Formats: sequence, structure tokens, C-alpha cells
Amino acid sequence: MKPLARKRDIFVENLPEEAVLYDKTSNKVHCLNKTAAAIWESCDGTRTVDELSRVAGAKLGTPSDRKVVLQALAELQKANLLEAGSVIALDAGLASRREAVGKIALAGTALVATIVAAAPAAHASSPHPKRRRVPTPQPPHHVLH
Amino acid sequence: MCLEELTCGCHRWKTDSRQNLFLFLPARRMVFTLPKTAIGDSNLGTEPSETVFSVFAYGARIEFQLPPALLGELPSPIVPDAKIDDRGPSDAVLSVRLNRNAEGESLFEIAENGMVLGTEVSLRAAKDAVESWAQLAVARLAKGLIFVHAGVVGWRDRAIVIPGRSLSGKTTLVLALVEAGADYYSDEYAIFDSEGRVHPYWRLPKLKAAPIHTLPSRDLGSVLCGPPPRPIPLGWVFISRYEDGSSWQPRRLTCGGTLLGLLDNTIPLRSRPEESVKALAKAMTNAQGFEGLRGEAASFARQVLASL
Repeated sequence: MKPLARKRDIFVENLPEEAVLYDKTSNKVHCLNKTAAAIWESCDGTRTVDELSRVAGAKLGTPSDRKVVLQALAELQKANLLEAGSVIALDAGLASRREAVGKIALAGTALVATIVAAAPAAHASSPHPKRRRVPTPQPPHHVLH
Repeated sequence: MCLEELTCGCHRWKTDSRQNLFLFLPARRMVFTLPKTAIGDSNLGTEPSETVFSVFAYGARIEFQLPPALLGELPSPIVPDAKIDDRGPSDAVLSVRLNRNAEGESLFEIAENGMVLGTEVSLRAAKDAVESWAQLAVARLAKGLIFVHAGVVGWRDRAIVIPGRSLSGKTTLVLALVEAGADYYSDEYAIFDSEGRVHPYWRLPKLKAAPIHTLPSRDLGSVLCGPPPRPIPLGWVFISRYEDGSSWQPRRLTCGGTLLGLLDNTIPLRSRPEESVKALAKAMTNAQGFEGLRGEAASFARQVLASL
């Protein structure tokens, strides 16, 4: 298994300790903590889990841990941030999330946190909510050209 | 205003039930209100069945197509900082069609760019809905600015931003913070520029739910008569949910966690994701985020300001 990060249609904003990714295909926003971000950045399709563990550990200045990498890969895969087919059988050898996360003392932070970008109409004020429908308006025709 | 302008055919007008006359003069980008008796009927021609005008606010131009009956009910400006402006193509067209149901009741069908947004059964409700949709359209289409659904106050030259959807208690919290000494900026949108500074959204606060607690004694109306406050850097973001009996014991959020909380309430996130994320990440450079359950607004406000 040599995971490859999916970077097509994804906008990345690097923060001091995290990375925020916007997936334009799903309109989801993912916040990767520094461990998940280091692993995702290192997923170039040529590295095995053990190699990823070493590379990410060196980036983070922490001892490498295969179980943490497997947990992160599982969450990245679930978030559709890895190319399909580049990751398989993640359950094998995977520690419980509590165990994996505990190993790197991530108290209170998730490896990958996700929200779905709301359609603008979801933000409509509701003075009369029972009579309101909230479709997303399309641009006027002249804006399309 | 001279009679020539009224008779040149380029004006638009309507009357309301009190025989007030509303005149739009596109060339001067102005609206006049005056008694209809001040101008002879012969100078006006036939009252149009639909009033069309555009406003320009925050870089977005919105065209309105409204039944005359609705026009006199709308606030002026309909969107904070909006100017009447018919020049150039509109970014969105907001229209209201007056229909009747089987019982003969008036129905106000509100649409944006032809897509029906909702139907209201009273003039008052239609007025509220048009105002709300207009403000949301500007928030979505504003140029160079990112609108986040949030209440904002200024405190020690930095902004306190409280993101949240409608009916989440933003206005109540903002009013409580103002009562506790903070400066009013907005009860609806936090406006971020590309440098991450927070701009005021200068309108009177609107309580959509029945107020349970007393309103602040400070006269916001007189405050809003003055110039809006200057843009300030983001200081703190509070993501809270009301729970009866709770006391404010927040946990500190990471920068990314706070950013997610802001992005969850960002109006143009889908249409301008990169611009939105960049502006808010920039704003977070020297800001802190907290989340937790809160109880009464006044207690929350006192605790928050005392802790900063």
C-alpha cells in the first residue's frame, strides 16, 4: 500500500499547526491537525506506511508510529483525501482511535475534522420560517455569459 | 428636483395608501418622498404595475422588481450602505409577484433570478422577506469582502465575533455585550476584507424572536446616526450554544477549529472558497477562538468581557 494524496480540486491553506483543505468537488472543508497534515503531504504514492511513519515523524519531530499513520490514513480515506485505490485494508493492524491518538498526545483535537459548506440560502433569516423555502438562487442569465 | 425631471419619462414612481409619492430618479440616483398633492396628476402619467430599480452595496448590484404596494414599506436603505444605482448589469434580480389564492387573499411570491424563494401572505411579511433576501444576496455577491453570518462588537480595538445562523441568539448576545460596554458593529454579518479586518454592518439590530430579557439602555439608534466605526482586526471568536442553566466555561479552540467555526457560517464559501478561506485565515493570525455552552446573555457578556 502506497497512499497518494488527492490534490486535484482541493485548495489548501496552511496554518501554523494545522492545514485547512477545501474540496471543490464535495464542498467540504477539512481541518487536518499537524499529524494528519504531515502524513497527507507525505502521501506521494511512492511511500509505504512504514516510510510514511518515518517521514512524518521526522517532520513532526516525534517518534514514528505505524498505528498513528494507519489511523490518519483511515480518516483521510474516509474524507476522500486519498486517491481511490491507493489505500487498501486499512483495518489490518489498526489500533483503536483512542490508542492511536493517545500516542501522540493530541488531547482535544481531531486528526481530521470536517464540515460541509452550507448553501447560501441556508443562512436566510427566518422571520416567517413556516412559509419559507430556501432553494439556492441561480445567477441571472446575463451573468452566465 | 424640477418638473422637467418628472416629465422626461425616465423616472419611476408609486404612491402608497397615504398618498405619499415615491419618485426614483435614476440619473440622480436618488429617491424622493413627497405628498402626491405636491405634484399634479397630469405630470405623472399612469402609475406603473411594477417598480424597477437597482441598488449598489459592497460591490454588488441588485435589481428589484416590486409591486408598488410593497415599495413604500421597505426600509431605506434596504441594505446597509446601499445606494440607488441603475448603471451597469445587475448581479441578481429580486422580484415580487402579487398573486391571489383561491380564497382571494394576496400572495407575495418572492423570487431571485426567476427562482421562487418563498411566498408570503401579508405585506409586512413580504417586506421582511424582501429585506432579508436582499441582504443575503448582497452578502453572497459582495466584491472583495467575505460576509460571515455573525454578530460583532468591538472591544479594546479588536473585534469579538459570534458566528451563528438565524435565531441562534446573535442579536441578544450582541445587545448584551453592548450593554456591558462593547461597541456595536453588527448583529447579522461580520464583514472581513482581504487583510482580515472586520468591518461594521451598520444597521439597527433586529430581534427576530420575542425578547425575553430587557434591551440595553444604551440608545443604539443615536449611535447608528453617527458614522460607522472603523474596521478593526479580529480578536476573539466565540462559538456558543444556549442551554438553560449553563455557565460559560469555554474550551480553547485551535486556529483551524476556530476557522472551521467561521467557515461554517460563511455566506460565499461555496462560490468563493479560496478567497473565503484566505481572508478568514488571515484574520485568525492574532485571534483566539473558544467554544462552549452559555446561559443567560447578560451573564455571558459580563464573563466574556471580564476575561479579555
